[in-house]
Amino acid sequence: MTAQIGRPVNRVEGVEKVTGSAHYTADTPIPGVRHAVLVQSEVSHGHVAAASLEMAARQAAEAAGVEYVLTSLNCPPLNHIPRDLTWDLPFERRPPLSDLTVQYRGQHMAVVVADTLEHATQAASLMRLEYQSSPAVLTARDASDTYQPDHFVKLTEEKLQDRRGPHDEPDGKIVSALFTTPENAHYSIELSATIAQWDGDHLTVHDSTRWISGERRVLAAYFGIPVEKIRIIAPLVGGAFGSKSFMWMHVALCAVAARAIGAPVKLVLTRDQMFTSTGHRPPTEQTLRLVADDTGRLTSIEHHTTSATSMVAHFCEPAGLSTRFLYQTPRLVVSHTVARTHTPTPCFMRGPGEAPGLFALEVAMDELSYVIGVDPVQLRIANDAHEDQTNDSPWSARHLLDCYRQGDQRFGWNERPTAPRSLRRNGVQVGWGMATATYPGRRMPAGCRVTTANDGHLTFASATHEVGNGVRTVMCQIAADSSGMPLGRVSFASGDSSFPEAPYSGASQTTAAVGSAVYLTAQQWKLRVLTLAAHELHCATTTLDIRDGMIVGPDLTRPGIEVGEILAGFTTDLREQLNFACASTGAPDSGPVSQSFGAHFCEVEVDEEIGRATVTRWVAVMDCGKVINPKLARSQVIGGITFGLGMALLEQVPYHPGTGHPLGEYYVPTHADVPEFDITFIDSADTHLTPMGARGIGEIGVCGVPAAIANAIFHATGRRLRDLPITLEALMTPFDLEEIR
Amino acid sequence: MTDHTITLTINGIERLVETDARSTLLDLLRERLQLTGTKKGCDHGLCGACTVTIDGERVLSCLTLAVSIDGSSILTIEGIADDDRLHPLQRAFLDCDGFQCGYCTSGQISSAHALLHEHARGDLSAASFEPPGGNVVDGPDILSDNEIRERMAGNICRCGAYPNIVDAVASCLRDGRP
Repeated sequence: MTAQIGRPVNRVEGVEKVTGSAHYTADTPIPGVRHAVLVQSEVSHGHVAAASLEMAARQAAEAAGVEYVLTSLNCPPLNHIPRDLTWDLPFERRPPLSDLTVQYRGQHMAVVVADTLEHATQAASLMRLEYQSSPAVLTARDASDTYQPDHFVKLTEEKLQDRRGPHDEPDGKIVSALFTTPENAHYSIELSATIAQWDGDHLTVHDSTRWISGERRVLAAYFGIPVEKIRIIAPLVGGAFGSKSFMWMHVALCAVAARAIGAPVKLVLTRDQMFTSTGHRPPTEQTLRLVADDTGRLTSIEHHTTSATSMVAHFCEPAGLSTRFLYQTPRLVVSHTVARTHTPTPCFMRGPGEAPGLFALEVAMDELSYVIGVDPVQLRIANDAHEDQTNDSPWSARHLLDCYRQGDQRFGWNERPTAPRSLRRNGVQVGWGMATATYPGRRMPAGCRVTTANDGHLTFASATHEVGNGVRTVMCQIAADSSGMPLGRVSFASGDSSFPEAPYSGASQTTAAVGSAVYLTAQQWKLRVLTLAAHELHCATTTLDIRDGMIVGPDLTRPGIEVGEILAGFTTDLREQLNFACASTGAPDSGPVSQSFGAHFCEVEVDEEIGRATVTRWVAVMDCGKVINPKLARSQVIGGITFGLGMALLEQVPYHPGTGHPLGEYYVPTHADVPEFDITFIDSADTHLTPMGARGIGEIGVCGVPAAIANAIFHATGRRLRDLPITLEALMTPFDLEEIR
Repeated sequence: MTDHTITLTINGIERLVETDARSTLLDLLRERLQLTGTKKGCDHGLCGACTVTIDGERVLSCLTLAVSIDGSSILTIEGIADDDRLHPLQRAFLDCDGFQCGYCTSGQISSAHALLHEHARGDLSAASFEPPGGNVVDGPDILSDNEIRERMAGNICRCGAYPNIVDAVASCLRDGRP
């Protein structure tokens, strides 16, 4: 029998995706659906004048095709959602349309519902609102309302304020610098879409969400109805990258509107609304201070981060978390400060914490390598953390040193001249840079149900989400191996709250979490089939096995019996025993620490005359446990690196610093921006975390990428750039070459 | 008063279609004709997800008013396969893993499909003039990866499947210009 785990299987939903028949939320055909369009605040702080709101709503209501206009004047009161969702997760504390105040630009002010999208759009454009503006705090630097959260989301061990070792900083070689990262947008190509429909007091919501069970809980709280009366359907999700979760306000408003008019309502955000109303990575300011002895051994690390959140929700960009353990150091101080600003609510974005945090840490390490006079790879090897110093635990299946060595070799790093400005080609500067990547190996509890068709085809189902992570494909591979059935005889369904509960599709844990549930369910299914078959075949269960869909065993009179054939002999009652659900636990509480690592090496060409940096070559070696599907895994790591490339060179939500109004566009990488990739996986099983040995791979690709690029640009030009993105202006600003020597 | 009747031939089938004068071809396809394979990613001509072919040329359906193309022939993603037989490009996108979430894929394949036609016709791109320099009179015989990237640069993939998309397109161009 061929093992499916480890094979480069094509995506199981691929044919639908290449033919246009793949089904995303906004594609759902709903007879009689009405179209909703949002009206949003144009000021950052203040009040909307009630009279203008009333008049604007009346005008919109009179426009052609309009059926309903929802504002804070007629919005039925929604309950507050429970504190455990708002105090350490980025849910807005204030229900939508609950008062006349404005806390950020882009806050929803009204929903216009009409028979067609054109009518709703036209009517919404008529709503000119008058505001009494108040002074707005738009940056963390200007904020007076700041606080220091204790830990990251629900993870109490992920301390945002942490220190160990001596109180005073030792003497030594010092690198100390300020790093900034801007507001980044997830920019999934699918716009967030919701279709809400009430049937009596039952609510069905089709939504592009990556957290079905969370959304169900929040809607139940808002409307004061039991979760059992709410069904969430998330067919395919067109990218999320951290957004499309922690239910955004438009979802609730769509449901309010649908209930008010007694008809299904569809609401698709515009691209501009995606920036203000579905989260973003908040800007950070980070101070990084490294102290090392003359040989380059670290004696102290301090990493202090300030990030912005909104006035109505909590989110802390946990940039310093991986600094706590990435390198061995006797002294550590990490702090995080959150500043409340009149800006939209931020949230997780691919590599939350790691993406901006490793930019600071890994650029500082590069600086240290020049201060000490040691190769950047050697500096990292010398400071390798042989255990997790945050809790004195050993690592589980850690191979970071192999990543450095293999990457070094594949890239040809030993040919790198140390001095900046040493390499030149075709009239442009060339530089080589590297950085370490890391991301936690996470796993939360998850459930899975199996349904057995009469012909022996198995359908596994879990309320997880196909966001492009390949979950349907990878789950089929795990299910096939664990059940003994061929890949063609198993299917995996996702995206429906009627399936057993699964965690949000985030934190790079879907393969580990849902995969473990599928693994257990399939294993249990096999045991049940074999127990029933053993009875039928008059032999011991332990002598039987299922391979490639055939029941085999030394005591059988035939070489193998088709599972379908055995099932045909079972009574309906017996067959019913093969339809059941299992749940898997979260990560083990004790034992070694599961953490993924990797090493990035890149080449950048810098044309200093026009301020253009082009990434030309990329080598990444990733240590993410057992790889279930090397084709999909490679794609995901390439995608992560491309995400980081955008963060390094292109991406920032451009706001006017005075008004908070958006200026211009948000640039993301296109075909023209990507380098040649050489991706390698260590592919060593972490069986402490999951029975398949897999850890997640969704986020580690992006981690360390901006630093590797910034370090390569330093090597190419001698410019040490510590503010992202690295723009044309940064590359062209005159600077004194002597300063770098 | 805002409704107009136009004639469109969509994927080979001629039909009379009622449309709001303000409706884009994209909204018409998706909301009135239930041809939801064509995707809305930005609605202002940035991302390429809504790419379709009108009278043989690729266009952004979000920037095309439906009433402005009365009488035209439109090819959408739903019309690219030959019934159940995938077009070689579709097969190549599958085998090369040229997508992840799949939301931009209809536009990528529609663009690539038009690219094949443009290449066969001898169209040039900015990359055709780059060193080493090819045939800038009749168009390049073989499209380099750089040529493919340039000709596909209008289609954004946030999942970052770009290298696999280039591989998929290149595999359909391997034999040179027909």
